[in-house]
Amino acid sequence: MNKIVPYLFLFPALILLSVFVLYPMAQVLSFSFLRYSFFGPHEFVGLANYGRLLSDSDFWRTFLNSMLYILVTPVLMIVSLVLALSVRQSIRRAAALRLVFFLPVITPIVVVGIMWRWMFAEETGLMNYFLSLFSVQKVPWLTHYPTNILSVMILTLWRGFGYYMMIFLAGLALLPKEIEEASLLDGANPFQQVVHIIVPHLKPTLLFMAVVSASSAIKLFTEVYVLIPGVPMNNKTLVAYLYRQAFERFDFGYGSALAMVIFGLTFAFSYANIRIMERQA
Amino acid sequence: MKRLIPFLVCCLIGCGQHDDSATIEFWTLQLSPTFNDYFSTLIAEYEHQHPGTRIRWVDVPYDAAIQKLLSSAVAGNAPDVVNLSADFLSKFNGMNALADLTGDIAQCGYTFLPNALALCTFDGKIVAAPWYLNTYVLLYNKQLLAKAGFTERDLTTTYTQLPDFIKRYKDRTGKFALFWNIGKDSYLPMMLGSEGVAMTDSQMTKATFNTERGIALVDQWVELYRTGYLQSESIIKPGSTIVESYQSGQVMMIMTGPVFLNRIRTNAPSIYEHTGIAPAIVGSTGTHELAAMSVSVLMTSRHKREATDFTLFLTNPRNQLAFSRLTTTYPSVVEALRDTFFTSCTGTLETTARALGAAQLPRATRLRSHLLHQDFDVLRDSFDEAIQKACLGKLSTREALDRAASEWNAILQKSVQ
Repeated sequence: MNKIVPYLFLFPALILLSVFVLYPMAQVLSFSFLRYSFFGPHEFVGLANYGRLLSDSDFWRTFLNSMLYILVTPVLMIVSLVLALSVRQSIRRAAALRLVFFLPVITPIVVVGIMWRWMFAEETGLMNYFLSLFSVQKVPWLTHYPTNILSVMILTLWRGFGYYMMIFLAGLALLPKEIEEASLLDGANPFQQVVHIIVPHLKPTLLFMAVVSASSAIKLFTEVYVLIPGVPMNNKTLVAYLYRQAFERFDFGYGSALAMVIFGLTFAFSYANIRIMERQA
Repeated sequence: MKRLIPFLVCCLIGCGQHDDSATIEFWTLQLSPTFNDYFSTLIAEYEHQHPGTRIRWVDVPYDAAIQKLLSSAVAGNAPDVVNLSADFLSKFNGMNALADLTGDIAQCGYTFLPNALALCTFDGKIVAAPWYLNTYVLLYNKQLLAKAGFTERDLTTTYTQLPDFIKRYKDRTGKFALFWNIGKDSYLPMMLGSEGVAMTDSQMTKATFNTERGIALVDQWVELYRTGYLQSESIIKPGSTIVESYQSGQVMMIMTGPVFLNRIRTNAPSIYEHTGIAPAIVGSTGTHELAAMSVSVLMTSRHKREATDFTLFLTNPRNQLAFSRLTTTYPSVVEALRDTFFTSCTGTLETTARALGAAQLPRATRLRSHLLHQDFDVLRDSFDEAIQKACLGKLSTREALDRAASEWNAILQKSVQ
């Protein structure tokens, strides 16, 4: 009986996981071997959809863009950590700043997208206006590649640092004060404190963030969809390509093959991240 | 017990009886709540005339309509009658999803406009009844026009004069005369069609836009973009942002459907106040773009006869006229278009726009004929990306169009096979 009890507790979660995650995943896998038809019988095509991926230039370009986009992860982590360190005191001003930094996280992405599209507008936007004050030429924030990928990165950073800052703050709250005080007495400067005391202590948090932010980067879609919807496909990311194939062109078979590749990539990245961080720990 | 036995007998008899009533599910695209009264009256009247039939009206958001329709088809509960934009008919026809209405439309007793019916006909098979139509007019801001030192007589009427006007306006004011999406859902094929350069041959087997004339016409717009006479984002913004750019005062004029006047009046009353209307700009053939909504019966419907009957009731002259009176759209049947409602102009913007559009309707056709191909989205994206590359200087206009044409030929040939 004792052996069954833990499974009984897991059962409700397993049911939900099976219905909403495992079953859809199995279906997507099965669709990836089909030429999917909405109003007639499907046709089994074996690995043809995967074979098509190999010779699809848009797939490789969007794949490359997604990899490029992962660069946002270390920047996001560093910015978030710096912000967390600057607002971790329990004084009132720091609390207000925490709120301000967290605001982008709770702002709906569509609103954020429209707002940044205005800011990045090449003739009338704020970004180019500020640059013009320093006699810098107009930057084609939205139309030119890879500048438009950089624009999406800026939007992601602006929207994401508040969230990761809160996670760092939670990690910092667990850091024993005595260790920091001891290092201070031993003459460590703030930079040395961060490098030798805080960062090693935050390794579990860093691991979590590396996994979450890297997989989010691979799965990036909404920011691209709201900020640069009209740019050529080879300026976009893998999930944007998946969206076009599955939901604009209704090629569910090919879209499913793409989804499986994205899943494989996310899984591989997460696994590699965990192993590297574990080894370092 | 005495009561229970007759009850059980009745239940058993009831189980054996066949239910003659048919429930028709009817989907529209973003017409609720504005037209709730119209549809409840229309449905009540139909149900009164057809006691065995119930109509269940479902209104779906325009952007999510296709995904919802496909999801419902996969789930086995697709609607019986569905309102589709003419662009998507080819897609659904390619999936064998639409019932053949050829015989029913031939016998319906009223006459659909041939140019509207052509949009619903594939390989001689009519797969939808045309419903409400729209065409383009030129909306311009009288105040901005005057500020630039122009009069209404200076407004251009042809695509040949338009690039020069755009340059003169920008040179005088430093601002943009027009917003036109040339690189995303590009309207350049509309210009080419009106200038007599078809996008494909009549059988849709070969791209025909990369002729010397086609290249020269497109190149004018590429040059306008490269030299800063068009907004940078006009290569990445879709047509849906045209009205937005006008009502925010960013541009002096736009070409759009009269139906958008209501939106401008609500969102930007001060711009609306200074808005003037002129006929849409045309090319050497004098033809205009025709936008159409249609109504189809899905193959999966279990009540095709009733669904077809309701479709023809919805699109009959009386009901189409009643619908047009509530909007700035046009009916697709000749009998309704003859009504003086479409010619009388009381001087308001709406009536002027309506009369102008109605006068243009006989010369309106689907200039972007590639949208009638089942892979229209692939063709459209290929053309758009070619224009974007040309505008950004990555390719010359000729190289870009030649490359797009060869992509088109591969797609068109594949579908012929």
